[in-house]
Amino acid sequence: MVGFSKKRPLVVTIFSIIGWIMVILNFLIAFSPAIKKINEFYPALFSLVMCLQFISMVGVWYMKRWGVELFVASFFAKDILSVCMDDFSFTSVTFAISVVLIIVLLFYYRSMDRNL
Amino acid sequence: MVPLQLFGESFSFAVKALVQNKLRSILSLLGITIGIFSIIAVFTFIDSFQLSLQKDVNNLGSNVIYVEKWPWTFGKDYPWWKYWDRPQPTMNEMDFIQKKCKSAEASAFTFGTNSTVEYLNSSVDNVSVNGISDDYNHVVNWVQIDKGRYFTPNEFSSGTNVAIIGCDVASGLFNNQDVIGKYIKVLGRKVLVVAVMKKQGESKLSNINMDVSVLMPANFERTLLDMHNMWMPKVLLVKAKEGVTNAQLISELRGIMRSVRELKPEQEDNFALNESSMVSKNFTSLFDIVAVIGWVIGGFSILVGGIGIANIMFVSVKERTSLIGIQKSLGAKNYFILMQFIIEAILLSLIGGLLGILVDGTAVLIGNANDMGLVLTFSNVMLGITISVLIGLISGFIPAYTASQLDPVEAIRSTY
Repeated sequence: MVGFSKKRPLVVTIFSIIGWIMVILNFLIAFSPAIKKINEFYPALFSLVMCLQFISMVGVWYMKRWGVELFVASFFAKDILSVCMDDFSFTSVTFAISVVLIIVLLFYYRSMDRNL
Repeated sequence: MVPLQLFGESFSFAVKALVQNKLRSILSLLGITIGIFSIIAVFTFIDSFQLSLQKDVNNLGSNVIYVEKWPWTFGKDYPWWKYWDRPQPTMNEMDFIQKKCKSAEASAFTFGTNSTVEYLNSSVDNVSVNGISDDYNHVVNWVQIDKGRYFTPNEFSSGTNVAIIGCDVASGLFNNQDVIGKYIKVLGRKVLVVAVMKKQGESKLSNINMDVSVLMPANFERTLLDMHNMWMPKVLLVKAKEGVTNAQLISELRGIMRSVRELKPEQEDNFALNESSMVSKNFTSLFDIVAVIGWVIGGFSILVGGIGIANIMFVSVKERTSLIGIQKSLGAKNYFILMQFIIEAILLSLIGGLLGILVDGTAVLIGNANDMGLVLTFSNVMLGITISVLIGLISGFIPAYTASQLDPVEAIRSTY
């Protein structure tokens, strides 16, 4: 019924689920009082980036190249934002998961669908 | 023009879909309404409280040290029996501080009691009657004169029977008549009113309420009270010079007070050096906990609301599968279908969020009618709207993307 042709490897499935959980938890953290204390508009910007990551995970789930591209772009956007807000940490779990996720996704990038 | 036209068409499709299923739409946006209401209500409450706290700290003076018998905050095992026998600060100690303290810009002494104030047949009970020294208005910010004047140096030194009264005392005694130049009865003596203070409201940090206070020169009030009364609070206030930190001032004051009280090196301090941040820190940590609880409740409501919207969007896609097929076979692009459903989800969530903000606004209005001083800030409103839009986008994206990827032939054949 739905026009998704590429078969999704098990690794991508697992990492997509991990990514989704991470994004949803981060999305909830975006509205926490601790984040709001950093800057008045930080929650809005942070949640916008999280929203982009969520959409990118949908793309990854359907084995679309734009999903990987959007995930990488939103990863950098999030980190640049964190650096600007003095909230960046190399040792954070989210950062580590994201880096592993990017490596795995780039490995499967060639086998993904070019179309939207 | 074409993208705008497409957006307009998608928007009108989305609105029609929502209007056709009113009850379903309302029920599915309730979760978002509750979530946004909770989160924004907590942020509004905390922002309002912080503003009010800041105002109180400014009034108490962020750079003012209060020398007293009792500390403002106690640890878990505080030895209260040690504080009990401490001597109260005196005016002589204030004179000593004024002479010796290099970090101090100004210092003042105050003491007081609660009493009934009378004028003819009117009276106001439980008024805080405070004796003050001459620099009092330079040390604290709450002596804000509305009508009249501050005491003259001569009135301070000679102990003249004059008073500055709070606005609630003035309205209670004189019922909006002219106050200045009238004699009121305080602690059994006739006192001339020389000024009325501006309305300031009650402090959240301390029990000070200048609206129900009477200020008199210390040299006059000391003749009316028993200065040896151990229950009467006496406070020495010292304001730091510009560029001097509270820690520096406290360090110097500790040395001066120990010297004036002739304490030996092995003896503990028999005075407390208090500052406004001691109390505000306690309040801030308490409200941090409230904020986290509110955020958890609001966050889960939003999560549940988002899942509800996603569910409704999946149903909506299923219901309109054949319509999507027809649209696609007539040339509708994937992104047009995608936009149509995303707009529907965002609209649904946005309406829910706006309702939540509206409820917050109403609660703020009701709260302010009861003098709660709540402020719904622009950034909080924007945050509420952003959360709603993004939740709509997240909830609606998967159903919308699924719909956009449908095969037109198979979609038309759908018999849902």
